[in-house]
Amino acid sequence: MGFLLVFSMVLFASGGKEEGAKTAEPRELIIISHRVHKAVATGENGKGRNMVAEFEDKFNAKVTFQTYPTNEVQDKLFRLGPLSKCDEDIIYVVPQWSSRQTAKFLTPMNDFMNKKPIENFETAYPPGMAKTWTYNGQLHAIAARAGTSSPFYNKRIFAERGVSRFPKTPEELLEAARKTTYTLPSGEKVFGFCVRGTKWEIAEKLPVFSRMWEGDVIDMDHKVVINEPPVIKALNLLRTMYSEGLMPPNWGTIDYAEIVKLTMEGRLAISMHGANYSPTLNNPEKSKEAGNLIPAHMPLAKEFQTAERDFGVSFVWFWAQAILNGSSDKDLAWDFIQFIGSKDARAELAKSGNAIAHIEVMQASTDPGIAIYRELAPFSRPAFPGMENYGEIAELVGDMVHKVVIQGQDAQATADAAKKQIEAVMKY
Amino acid sequence: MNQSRIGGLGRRRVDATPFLLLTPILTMLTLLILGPEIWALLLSFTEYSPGYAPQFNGIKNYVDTLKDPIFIDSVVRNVLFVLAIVSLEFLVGLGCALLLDHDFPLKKLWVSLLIAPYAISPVVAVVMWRFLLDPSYGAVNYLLSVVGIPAVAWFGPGLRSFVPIVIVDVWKFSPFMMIIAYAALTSLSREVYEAAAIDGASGIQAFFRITLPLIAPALLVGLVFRIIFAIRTFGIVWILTKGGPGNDTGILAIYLYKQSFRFYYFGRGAAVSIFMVIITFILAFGIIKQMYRRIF
Repeated sequence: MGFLLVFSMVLFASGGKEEGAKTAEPRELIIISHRVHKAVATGENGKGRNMVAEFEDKFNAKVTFQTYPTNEVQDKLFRLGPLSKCDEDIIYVVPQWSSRQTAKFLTPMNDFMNKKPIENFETAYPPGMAKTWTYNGQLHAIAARAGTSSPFYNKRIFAERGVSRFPKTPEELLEAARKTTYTLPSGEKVFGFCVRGTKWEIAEKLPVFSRMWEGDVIDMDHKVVINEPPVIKALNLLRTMYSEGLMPPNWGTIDYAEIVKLTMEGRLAISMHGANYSPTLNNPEKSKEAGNLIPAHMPLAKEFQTAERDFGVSFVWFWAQAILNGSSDKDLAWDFIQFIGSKDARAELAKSGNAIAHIEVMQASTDPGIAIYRELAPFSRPAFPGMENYGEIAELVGDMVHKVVIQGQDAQATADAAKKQIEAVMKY
Repeated sequence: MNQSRIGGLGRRRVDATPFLLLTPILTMLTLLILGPEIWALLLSFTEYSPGYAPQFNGIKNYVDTLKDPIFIDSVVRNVLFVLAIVSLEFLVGLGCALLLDHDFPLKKLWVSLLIAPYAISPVVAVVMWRFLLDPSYGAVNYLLSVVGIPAVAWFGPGLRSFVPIVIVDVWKFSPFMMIIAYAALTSLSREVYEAAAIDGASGIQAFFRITLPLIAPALLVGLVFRIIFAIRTFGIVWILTKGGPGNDTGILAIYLYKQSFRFYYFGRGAAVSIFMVIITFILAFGIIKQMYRRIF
């Protein structure tokens, strides 16, 4: 009897030790995101602190980033979102995916925000971004990275080709592209203008061009205005540029990697990038044109220019952090979002190259691309309103752009047909 | 040995052991091959998107797919694409095999070089070709300019966008046909040719009357494989053009991918996959029939 008592006490004691050891083990946090979010959070470029390591130390956590291209992050959202339990905890989302249906995949954040609020959330985070992910009064995602798309011009090429300043109107943009398209003595061609041309990318950029005439493709109230004059003018401008050889002949396949490469090799006079790409494009270790690539505002048609604003509003994009419904450690997930959402953390992320979603950090930035975003943000809006089937809509819009710009179909007739197709399938 | 009587008196005894031994592998095959196929078939009768429970919708996915002009265009394009690349691969592969069937210096090196494209990872091969054919800085246009030929706008609209895809596909998969044809050629008896020569047959006659009929069964097997694989071509097109510009290079696998993984219409995607099986069967049926006739 005594032996049994001693044995059970030993067993209990050893069990307790094991339990103690278990609680001392770091809690796991798995984050689904684009590669860039990991790079800026861990301070990969060596300029900002490693905020993930600091979070791990403070919360005894082990953070794992699973990174994918944007469309695969969406795929993860749709696959993991409906699960009641999953290993993954946080997912980064973009506004185009915002809908009542996708909000159901995410954990409402109001309770977390009340218990452990993000520092100065009301004033430091743009309310429009919060609104995008608010359903039934519940916030579902916190903006983590934001910016705009803006043209970069190569000041060396501009000077050599006699263009004194960046164009202020669409007509000037076309003229500048004409003047800066030429052939080098080596036989290589320098193109006056380029924007990413794959269907999904140009679909997102079409609103940027239509906003040179204050238009939209689908407005924020989900009205399809793709066949209205601003879009038609934008399509015709792109068509003219393509047919005159001011854009590369393989424009329809030019993606992110290719346009960055062409820009850094001095093969493009004007190219569209994220406004925050200035440090990347001007990196002397990688770019032949370091110091020559300058971000600028999109032009605006003369009739819409005012004393307050003489530039096109491009669009604002942002990534936001959300907690998956199936996350097994939502408290830790919120701790991460709260930790990384502080002004100090956001400032460090900005040093690591993050496009800044925090107003106070943004105001302190000296980056010329951030300055563009800062001036534009009060007037701008996302490229598209949130919808359930953005992928399908983007395909239809991109298809229409390719038909007009590359295949030379009539802009008005093609846009009229696209409007009907979009209205028939759009879900929001 | 475990034997059991199957059927009534007077019937022969059937050994059950082979069936028992086959049961595990048959079960596994059923689960791994038939299972997903049955699931895909069932899925094709549902409306199913992430976050929503699958809803039975009868043959709506099939009807909607057939009504979609992009699908019809994709089918036509896919059939023409398959015919083009399989014909070219057949001709190039057979031609190379016939050359290799002769003795010449460094023959082993040539065999290795000709087989190399087939051994390279498909993604690596396609990315390499994408850079080679790039109109702005690709080596192909540079070489053309050296010999005075103006730069070609690869990946441009219409048929031009298909040319790079066909080039890459034929470059990558002709070695497959070559290997099959070469293996068949090396197995042919030289005595037949000697007899034909004595009878006065010319080289061309010997090729059409002796070589081709004798290697035909092997070539037909190769063609069936290539047709099946060519119909589901995805990687080359996706990496080179993503089905664009517009839908100029949109073939069935691209259409299926978009329906399933861009638009998240899983039921519709499953219906497209069933159509792909049917189209594959139709295209391969003639050759399979011919093959059985020749072999059995």
